[in-house]
Amino acid sequence: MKSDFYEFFCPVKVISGKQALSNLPHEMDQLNVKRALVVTDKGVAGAGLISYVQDAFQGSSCEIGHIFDETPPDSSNMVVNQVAELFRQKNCDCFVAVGGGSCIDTAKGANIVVTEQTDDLMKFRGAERLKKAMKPLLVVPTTAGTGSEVTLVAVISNVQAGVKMAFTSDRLYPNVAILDPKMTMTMPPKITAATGMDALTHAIEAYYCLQKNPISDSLAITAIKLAMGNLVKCVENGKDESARLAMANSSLIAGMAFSNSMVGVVHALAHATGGVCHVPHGVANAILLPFGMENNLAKRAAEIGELAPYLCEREIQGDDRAKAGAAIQAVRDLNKKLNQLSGLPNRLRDAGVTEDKLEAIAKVAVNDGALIYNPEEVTFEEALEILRRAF
Amino acid sequence: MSQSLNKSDSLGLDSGGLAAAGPSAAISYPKAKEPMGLNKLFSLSYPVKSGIARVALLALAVGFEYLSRNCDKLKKEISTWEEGRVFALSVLSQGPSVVLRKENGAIRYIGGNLKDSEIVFYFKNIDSALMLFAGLIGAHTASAQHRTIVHGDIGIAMEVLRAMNIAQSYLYPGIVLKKTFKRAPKLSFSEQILKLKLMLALLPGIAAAAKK
Repeated sequence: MKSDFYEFFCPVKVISGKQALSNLPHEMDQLNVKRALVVTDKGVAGAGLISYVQDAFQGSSCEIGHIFDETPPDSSNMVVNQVAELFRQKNCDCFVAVGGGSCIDTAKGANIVVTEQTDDLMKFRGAERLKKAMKPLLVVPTTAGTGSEVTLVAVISNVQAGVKMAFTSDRLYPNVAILDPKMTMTMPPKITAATGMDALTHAIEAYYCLQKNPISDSLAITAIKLAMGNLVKCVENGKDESARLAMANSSLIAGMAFSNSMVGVVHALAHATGGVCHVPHGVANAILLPFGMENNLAKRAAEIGELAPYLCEREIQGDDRAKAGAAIQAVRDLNKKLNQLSGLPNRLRDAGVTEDKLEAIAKVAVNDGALIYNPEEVTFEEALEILRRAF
Repeated sequence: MSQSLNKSDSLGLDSGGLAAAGPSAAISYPKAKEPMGLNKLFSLSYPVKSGIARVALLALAVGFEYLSRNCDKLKKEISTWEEGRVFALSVLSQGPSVVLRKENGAIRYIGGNLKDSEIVFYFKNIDSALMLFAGLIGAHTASAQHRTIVHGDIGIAMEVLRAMNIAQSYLYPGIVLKKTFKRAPKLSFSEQILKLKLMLALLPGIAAAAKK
């Protein structure tokens, strides 16, 4: 049996829809906090999205204590410590993350520093080490892909040690996630495509990896349906508010699914590809997804085949293998379409990876925790073979 | 009056079957069946289960020590580890623990004090530990089912896990490996001989380790 024992947890309040951002001060009030430290980045601030957040506070007793807009693409322990210090200095009582995965992870990391009264995150690496109640964290995603607004994970680089620190804890779930379509409308087509494929990868891997369960299954299927119905629309017309909101929901729902069922070889290889060659996570996931699905065909043909009705445009007849093959082909077709529309790379070589780096990527990938949850065993040689095929 | 109060109290939520049915007689349940086969393990008292888990952990520690000196696969796997790496397995919250350290290229069992361990694999409870030790589930299933958690660097934990899988492949019979590994390891004739030698060394090894 594939789900004979499981845990499922997601305590995040979700507010989704037009003008949902206006609810932010009310949600702070409900959490009994008044003064927010906003964690964002230059790109989000430059696109004018922070002014929407500031507008939401008009007529409210809640306020913004400080706006930190210097979050880098890969958050580090130094940035996290800086944000935590600002939180104390400015007498804030909650975090509001406005941005993509890095801004959200930075807020989560700073929250650990503030709550545990430490400046050494290394002590908290690993699973379920955080036990104290944390400061409230409200999240307003400006991309539709990471799902970090509903996950228990944070990844922060340690600059001095040269390692990426991973933290998982039920305490790291944000309190509130606000999906407002106007916050993702300015995303360029290529980033829309890459982040959307990140969401789709979360949902597909959640559906066939080892920790799958009945709840994550239903969430994964909903996320896939929303992505397949709306991702291309968002790339073709970024101003399509309804499609943008649907993709934001797809990302969030896929986040709920994979936070409880975890991901597999696609993510292990994508993390490593990002680490070694700085390929954006969504781009690497998009390229590697069909190859990762193929890697699991021997053990998961039935599950991958079950996704065919949601991934394929026409009805697929035949056995599990035939349906799974069609599902994989549908992902390839989607990648091709996104490549035509936005220039999303379809091969590793087109994403800046050179052949001499494949071994280094495979070496890092076999030490990625996501491999535990991949149904098929993946050795260094097999990881390298997948990378060669995707090259 | 009572009806209208119920309506206003419900706020549109289903009040639940039992409450809606009002006061009723206690439900009578049939007596629970006695556990069968390996499941009997879980009905033992905690001290007995803890003792079994301790012996199993010591067997793993002894196996690790022996194989790190004699098994080429394990030697190769740990060759890239830094000297002095300390890792441990422990049962929460106050169950048995074993701590191992890489010393002079091999693995050495150094007792049960977790203080200096950079990586600790925790079983959430004694039954979860027994499920793994009894060969009912594999390490990856224990992780997937959240029966275990890791404290420390995940990359290092993956290296230790691979080494642990090699050690387990010599400690369990093939039928268990087939059931608990994603891909059951196939041992060559010389590796089967090594497995036999390990089995012979196991009992005295456990007895010696238990004194530490």
